[in-house]
Amino acid sequence: MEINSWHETGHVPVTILQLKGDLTSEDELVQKAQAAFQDGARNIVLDLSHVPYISSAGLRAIHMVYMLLRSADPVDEEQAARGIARDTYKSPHLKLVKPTKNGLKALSTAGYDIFLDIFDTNPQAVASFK
Amino acid sequence: MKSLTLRYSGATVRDLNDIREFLESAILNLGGDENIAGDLVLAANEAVTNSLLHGYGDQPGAVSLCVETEGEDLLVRLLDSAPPFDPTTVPPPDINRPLEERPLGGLGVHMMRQLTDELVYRATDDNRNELTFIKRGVLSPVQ
Repeated sequence: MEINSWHETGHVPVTILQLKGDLTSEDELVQKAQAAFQDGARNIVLDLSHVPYISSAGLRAIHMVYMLLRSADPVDEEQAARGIARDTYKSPHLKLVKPTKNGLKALSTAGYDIFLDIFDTNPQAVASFK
Repeated sequence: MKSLTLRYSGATVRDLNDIREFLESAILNLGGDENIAGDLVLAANEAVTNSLLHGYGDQPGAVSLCVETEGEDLLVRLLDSAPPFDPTTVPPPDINRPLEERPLGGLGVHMMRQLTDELVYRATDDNRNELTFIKRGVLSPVQ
């Protein structure tokens, strides 16, 4: 898997991780996200438009990135508790862009689409961070 | 009945990409559409990965994949010689719980169940694991 990363600024600084290839292991994505996190990234977009397949290991990687970003924001935890009860919670720090048909199938089968916003384009995702 | 088979005497996780490509091509060739192929490839990929990583302990192992038609049904049959494991006995995860309350992982068998109409396990007479993924009524009657 190839992962390209770059920074964009909307309302807040955002790191884009663009994945290319099947997301069938967790190591590469988690390592890339951890490196970005150590460099100060607190808002990440995962561009999944070039990911033909996402396996359960890939889902685990997305889960780990979500938890990593969550760990830096205690306020998010309170908002999540309230929002989840009302079915309105979406992660404020991790957004997804344009998963392929099979990628979306994996995400929705696991229920990840309930908690993670999905956008058609990177600019839309970047603009959504507050 | 028509069938297409792929056999490895010593498969590893490096073969997973070729296995997915075989499955997709075989399913389409036997009359399944892209949506059905996507479901079955995702489901079978999880099972093969489990077999190679956990069943064979990440060592090369014998794996056979057969895509079959039975009337209007489409089947993918996975055979391996790893220690016996019946994934249909794994309890389902609660996917409505928030991500932070869920354990990391444990979604592979859930995907196998959700993406097929039926998931059938049996131990064969020669002590192999046979896991069959079934999509019901997805083929045209004239296939």
